[in-house]
Amino acid sequence: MSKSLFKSLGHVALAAVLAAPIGANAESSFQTGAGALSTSARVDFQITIPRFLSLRVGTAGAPVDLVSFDVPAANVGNATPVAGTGGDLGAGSVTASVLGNGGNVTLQATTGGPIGNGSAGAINWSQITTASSNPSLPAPVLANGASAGVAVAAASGVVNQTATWSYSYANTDVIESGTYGGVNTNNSRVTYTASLP
Amino acid sequence: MQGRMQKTKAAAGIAAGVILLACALSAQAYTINLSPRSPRTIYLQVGVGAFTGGTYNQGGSPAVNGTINVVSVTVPAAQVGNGTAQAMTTNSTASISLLDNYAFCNLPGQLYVGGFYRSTSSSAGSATATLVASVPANLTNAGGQTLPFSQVRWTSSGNGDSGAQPFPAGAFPAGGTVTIGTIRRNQWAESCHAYSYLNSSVPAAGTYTGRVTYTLSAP
Repeated sequence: MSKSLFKSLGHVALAAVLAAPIGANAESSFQTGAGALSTSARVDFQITIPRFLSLRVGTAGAPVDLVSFDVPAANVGNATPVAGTGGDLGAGSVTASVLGNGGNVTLQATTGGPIGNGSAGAINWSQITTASSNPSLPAPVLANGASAGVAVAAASGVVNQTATWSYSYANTDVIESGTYGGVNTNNSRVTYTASLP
Repeated sequence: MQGRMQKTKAAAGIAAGVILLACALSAQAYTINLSPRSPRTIYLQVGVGAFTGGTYNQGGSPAVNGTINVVSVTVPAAQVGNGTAQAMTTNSTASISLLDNYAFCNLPGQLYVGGFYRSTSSSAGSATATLVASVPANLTNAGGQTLPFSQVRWTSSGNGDSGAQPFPAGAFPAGGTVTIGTIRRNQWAESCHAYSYLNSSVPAAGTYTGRVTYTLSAP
């Protein structure tokens, strides 16, 4: 009797294995019949795009550009703006670009304070003006310290703007002669920051 | 193909004679002729399907499996929109064919697409069944922003295959339908699709989703 019961259970177990669906976790379907047949299976697609933000001011990559202004002696303080030289585009102009996909971008410029000459002389950053070729990518107004932020509007969540920023020296004050700023000295450097909310 | 036929013969047991004949009649990768019998049936599987009672060659019957697979990709932040296509992967676990348990697709890069159209005779019913995909215009994210479905395409292959696939490489339209392939009467056909995202634009950040419906029809 024991042997008979064992054999019966064995058959039941085998039948259960054969009856179990072979696959799982996806979609299959079927239809039978003599007429028109139609059956469907679905697939979901998912593409994840991470948030990112990139900013370029001047030469792409690591180099930091130098923009210089040379004021003729006869024009010192006469309020005639002086165009710059240098920059990746020359003539005191640089490439500015912002690319991001997280909505509106805020741009800010930060300096260490008035540009010095190594002694008591100083030029306020408000004397350095920036003109942008693209109204959709305005340049922050330079200041001693942190500038006010400027907004770069996104379209469908994306900001993709490029401009030429051209620097000038406003030349409205008569100041002590000398060389102000330099290569990362005497508060000569402006750091631009782009940010997403 | 040769390797698969050998495998099929070994697995088919008492049906080996029938399988040998079927292999000899198959022409391309991967389609195989089926013996007509009742009931007239179409079976479609995209991802992992279901059979009861063993594989088709073991005398099993097709079954419904309602879980929907996902084909996905996360684009690296440094590569968003740079035009370098991004390979997509699937959460499907379907590497084997339910025709004969052959290891046909490679996971997670390939999605099984296959099925059969069997009639009651060699002449009853339409000559072919057609597989069509219905595609929304866009994938959308939670913010309502969109990515056109035309940014998704696929290649087609299968382990041991040579020659043209029954469901060849293609691309989704930005809305509408696209014919994926056909299955001849009394035939099993299958391919493995490897999808990629073209990555040719910079979209807003987010997770974009969309559903494609594959429909196999025999008039």
